Amino acid sequence: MELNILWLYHDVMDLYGDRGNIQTLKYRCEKRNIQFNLETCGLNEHTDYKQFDLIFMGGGADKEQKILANDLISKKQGLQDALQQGTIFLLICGGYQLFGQYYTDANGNKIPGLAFYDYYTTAPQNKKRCVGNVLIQANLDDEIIEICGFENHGGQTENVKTPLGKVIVGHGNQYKHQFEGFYNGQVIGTYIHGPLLPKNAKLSDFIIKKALTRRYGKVTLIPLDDTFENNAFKMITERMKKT
Amino acid sequence: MRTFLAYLVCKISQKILKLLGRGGSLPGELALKIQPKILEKIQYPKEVILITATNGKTSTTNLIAQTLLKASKKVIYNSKGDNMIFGILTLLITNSNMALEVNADIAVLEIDELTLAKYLPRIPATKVMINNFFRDQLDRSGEMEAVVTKIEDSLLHYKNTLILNQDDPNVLRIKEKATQATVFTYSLNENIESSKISHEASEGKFCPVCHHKIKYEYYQYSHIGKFKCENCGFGNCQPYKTGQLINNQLIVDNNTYQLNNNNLYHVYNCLAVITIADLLNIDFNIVFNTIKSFKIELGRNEIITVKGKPCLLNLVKNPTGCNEILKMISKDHNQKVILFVLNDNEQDSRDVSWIWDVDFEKLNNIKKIICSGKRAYEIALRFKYSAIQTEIIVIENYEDAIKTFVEHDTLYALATYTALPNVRKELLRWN
Repeated sequence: MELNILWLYHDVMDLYGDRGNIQTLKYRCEKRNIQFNLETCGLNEHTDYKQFDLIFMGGGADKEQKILANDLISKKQGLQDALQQGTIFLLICGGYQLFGQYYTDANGNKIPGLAFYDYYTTAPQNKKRCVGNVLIQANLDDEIIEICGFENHGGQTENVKTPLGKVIVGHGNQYKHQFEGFYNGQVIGTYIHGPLLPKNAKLSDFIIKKALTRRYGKVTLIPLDDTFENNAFKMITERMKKT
Repeated sequence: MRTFLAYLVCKISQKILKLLGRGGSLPGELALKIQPKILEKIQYPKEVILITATNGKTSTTNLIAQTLLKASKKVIYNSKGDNMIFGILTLLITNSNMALEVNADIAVLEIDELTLAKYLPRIPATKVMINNFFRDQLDRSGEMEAVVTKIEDSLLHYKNTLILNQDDPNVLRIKEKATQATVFTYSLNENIESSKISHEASEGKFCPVCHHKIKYEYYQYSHIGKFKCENCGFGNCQPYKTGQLINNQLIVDNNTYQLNNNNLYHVYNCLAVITIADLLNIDFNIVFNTIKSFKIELGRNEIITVKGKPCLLNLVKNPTGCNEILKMISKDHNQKVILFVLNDNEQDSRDVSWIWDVDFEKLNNIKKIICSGKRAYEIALRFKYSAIQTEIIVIENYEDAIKTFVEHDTLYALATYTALPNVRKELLRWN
């Protein structure tokens, strides 16, 4: 088996250790003899998006996000094709925001998104930035799991019809909000850094399985030794639940 | 009256703390609470130098202060890195008389980046020096871009001397906004440590003036290097001081300085010191001697002997600083044992994602890695996913971790800010 993965804007959107997500997917595929074919697509570059099983896009600083917003629009048709062909998407922070309608920054400038979904994001009122450890209960195709990480975003995302999960500790899509992220069965959007995948082993494997389905149907993955993953998860979430 | 009370409380509380064998910034905090305009009431020295950077603030401040002291100037400085406004106020007021006249010719003040942005308009600085900007404690500072923008705004009306590292695009860009300041820059030529490509997490990919991609001729470390925007020419200017590094010698204006450490980031600190000493007309021999004999602080590249074996202890706090330390460790080809103590208290950064921006993949000849601290498993995971073929063990309690650690040879200990004092103390117990 092989997994074809595209890292979108690897050259720009690499804040908060998001590259750790790629390292995690690679490790967990290779341990199971699944060939991990990673390609990158940066600013002013184009590729055949629909050939990929999984497309990943991380977060960037505000300024960098503005610079690439126009470039992203130029990739719209290709990304739309990939969506139609069943490619799975994992989008963190800025990547998540830009798949929505638009992003309005602190000065009121409206940066258009790809507008694939109804949600939209605005800069926070009264400097209410969402920063801190975050824990959510996610519903992944009827499998209920907890996901933890660190959020650090100004943008307040509204009108999310299908959130990724319920907030247990932290903010989520908006300041002190009930819900976090977006998931529609194909695209996962979230504000969770940390990075997201290393200590959320169940989520990592869910994404790998989901991405393989398009070409291989339902697959089962051999269990790995997740002692470090589970303990890292436990170490922080136990503390969060106490406070 | 309010001012006098603030002065009194600051002085007395500092004396009490001193008697208790403690320092800290509480006296300044109390003074500011009593008199919110205390900054405006202080009679500052003729020369007030503010020094900021993400990495190396404390070393640079100490180097400059020591140089000036050797030149027989009356200097006050915050040597221990108490660089927020309360710490700075404590220093200024405890060195003042009742009229709040600071008893010094020169104040050399290390200042936190956000504190500089907030308070610069209220402090009559004569010189502001900015050495570098890296990702650091993103949860506290917001993104680095936001920090730089705030500092730019604070310098809009600044009319005195501004000293900038020409080789950091995010530092150099500040001169575009600080149009009323007199700017002096320093730069380091290509040398044996430079490289044509960089894999380290970089800021400043785009030209801050026209937003085109920046082209590098070479990198020194992280995003520090010789760069130019091919669209608008940003970066294409002559530095005031240019350094040339040959082995352990730094040559500037035909003067040769002997370095006791040729780590590139120490070299940049020295260049900053040489530039400022030049602007203050300090004799070459004095600068030469300070740089040659400079010892960095405890827990920064400190060799501690444990059970008769040397152990190198280092503070780690952000990807760039940590990468520089790893490069040094990699020069040792023995089978090494590494202790990494990761905490996530406020001063360490509550967000530990920075460890994923560190190039641990480059480490070689590692026999064992011992992970400890409040986020021990997090750092263990980072090592696991770096695919370094070595034994990784987790011992959450740092005392137990060190007990195991000191049994080995070729020891390297890395600790985050709040872990460092404890790790140091514990290592010394095995001295």
